[in-house]
Amino acid sequence: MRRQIGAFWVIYCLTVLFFPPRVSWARPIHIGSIHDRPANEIRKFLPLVRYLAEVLEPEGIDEGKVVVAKSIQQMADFLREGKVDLFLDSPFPVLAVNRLAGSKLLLRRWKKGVREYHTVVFVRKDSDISRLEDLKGKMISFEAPYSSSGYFLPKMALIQEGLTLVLKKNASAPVAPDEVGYVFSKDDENTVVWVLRGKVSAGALDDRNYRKDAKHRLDQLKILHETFSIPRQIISYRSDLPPKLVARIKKILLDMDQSEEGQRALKAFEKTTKFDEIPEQSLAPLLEFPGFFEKVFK
Amino acid sequence: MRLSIRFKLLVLTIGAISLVGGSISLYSINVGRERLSKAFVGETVNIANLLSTNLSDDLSNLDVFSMRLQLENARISQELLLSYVLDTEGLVLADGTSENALRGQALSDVFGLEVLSADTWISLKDEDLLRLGGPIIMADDTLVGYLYLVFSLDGINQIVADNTRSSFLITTVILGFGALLAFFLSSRFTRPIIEIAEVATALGQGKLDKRVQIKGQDELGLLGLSINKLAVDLGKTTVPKGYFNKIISSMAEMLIVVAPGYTIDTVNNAVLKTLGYQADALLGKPLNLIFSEEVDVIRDLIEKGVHKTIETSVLTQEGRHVPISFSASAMREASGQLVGVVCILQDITARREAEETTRKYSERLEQEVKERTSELQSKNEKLERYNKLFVGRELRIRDLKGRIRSFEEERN
Repeated sequence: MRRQIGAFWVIYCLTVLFFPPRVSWARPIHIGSIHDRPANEIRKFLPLVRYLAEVLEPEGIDEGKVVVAKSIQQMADFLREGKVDLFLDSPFPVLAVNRLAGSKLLLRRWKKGVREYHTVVFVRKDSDISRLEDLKGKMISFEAPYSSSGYFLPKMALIQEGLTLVLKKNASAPVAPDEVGYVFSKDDENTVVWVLRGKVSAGALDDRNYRKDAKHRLDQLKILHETFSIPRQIISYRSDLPPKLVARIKKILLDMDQSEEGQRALKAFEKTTKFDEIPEQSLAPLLEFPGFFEKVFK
Repeated sequence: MRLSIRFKLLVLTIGAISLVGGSISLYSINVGRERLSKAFVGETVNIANLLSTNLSDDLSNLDVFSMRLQLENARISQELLLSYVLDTEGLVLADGTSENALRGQALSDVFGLEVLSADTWISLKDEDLLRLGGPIIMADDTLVGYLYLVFSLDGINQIVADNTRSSFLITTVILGFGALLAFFLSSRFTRPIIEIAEVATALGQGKLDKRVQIKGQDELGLLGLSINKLAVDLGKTTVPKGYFNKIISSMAEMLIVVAPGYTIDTVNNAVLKTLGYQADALLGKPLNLIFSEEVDVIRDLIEKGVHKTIETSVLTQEGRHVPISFSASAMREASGQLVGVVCILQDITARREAEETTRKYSERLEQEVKERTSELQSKNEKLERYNKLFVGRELRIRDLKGRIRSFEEERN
């Protein structure tokens, strides 16, 4: 009998040694982002997703993946289809995707040490435009169709002023007197250059980039309007993600800035300072805007 | 300093190899450097062309962001240090960095200004930099801006330096092998020449048994054959001088060779020993130094060509006369021209002394013979007288014996 028990333990140990217990539901965790240059975006997100995958290994996460969508709609589809677990972006795209895919807000990200930001609408100093209303019949440049500070926030500000925004094919396209034409410059710096060189009448971008990109020509520009501030970035999660896992992810992200390894991953992830809870009223100006989704995401 | 043919040949060969090999190597290095440099410039122009094509749309659209990306991507060429996209007024739109700090500024360097007036790609080589710039033109010849690139020449200079070093190393190794080969060939080539020279020298010294060891069929082999044949012929027709000198020096007789001017040309050891002179004291001196009246005899001998032997005497350095037997014979060329007179002098002092002794003995013997003869005559006379007495007595004894015998017989 004793011999049989001994044989059992030997077989058990060998089995454990060569066939270690694996979680049968092992799967990668997918973090999503919207950008038209996926390679660069994947490179940016890798430090975070690898850190998460490593820490979530006990939860059956065996790998971290970055999924880059080209548009809000595609990201919403990815979330619905379970191809993306976490989505990280500025507030407007996150809210839009939430609405389309049913995903939920999780935390705020301090991107590059910035917890919140706002947008400035600016024109050349020698321009005769002095109010938002003066933009009628003019062309304004936004950054990109998924940018919060470079598109949604200024667009919302212009809409609130009662202006009608019309997307144009290019900056030289004609603009009707009762509308404001807009184009995407693809980059904040382009926006500044276009305004400085008169390619467009006005531009909109976040306050920090405005000062950075205007460089020594800041004195040639004037700010027409400054919006309210919004959280710098927000991370949301797929609604059907197991609550236990969500709680674990939230805890990990909140604690990242407390550990040396977490700090290292945050720093590598575009010098992120930390993740924290989304302040209660920070998104109120957006959500309380009547017809927010219909007007802004039209 | 006397340099051997081997050394000269070695120096000549190595010099030639070094000169030719070095020249070829230097030429190759120079050509290689030119080609590398030209290829590098060509490559930079290709980069500039490609960039300008890609940038033309961005310039047209004033897409600074895309320009920045284009320039950043161009940094894949590690030699590209600086890159600027300028607008038509010469203001920087993109400086190739993510900060794009120079945007809106004008470049102040001289080449930057030259680029603004260029209608095609122009380049300028500084110490370690290649500056390249030119206009960016749309298909319809509309000028939309300028591209100004600065490349590092460190990489290409390093390649050139590495190539040059490798070439020098290979050349040195080849020259080293060439030198070894030259050493080997010169040794191999000069060995028979040196051997021929040694054999020729030995033949000159009369060592006619020396021969060249012939190993090849080339000209040197033929020369060796000729030398060997010469040695054989010389052996057959010539008495070696050394051997001849040994004969002369070991002659017991004195030998004097008289030059046509009646001066002493050659003497052997016997002359020096007998007359007590050093060779220098005799050679080239007039013949009458050692002969007196016999000079005329010799002159007669020479002029008349008579070969005869006379007995005379020579004078020693101390002035003593040494009796000699003198014979002389004229040496003439085939043409009859007198070369000299070979004189053989034999010291006959001993003979003379022997003759004198003999003569004295003879005289004494004759005297003694005379004296003995007269003594014998007197004794003969005495003997004859005694004989006569004895014979008579004998005859009577014999008669008496006969008578006695007859008496005895009668009695018996």
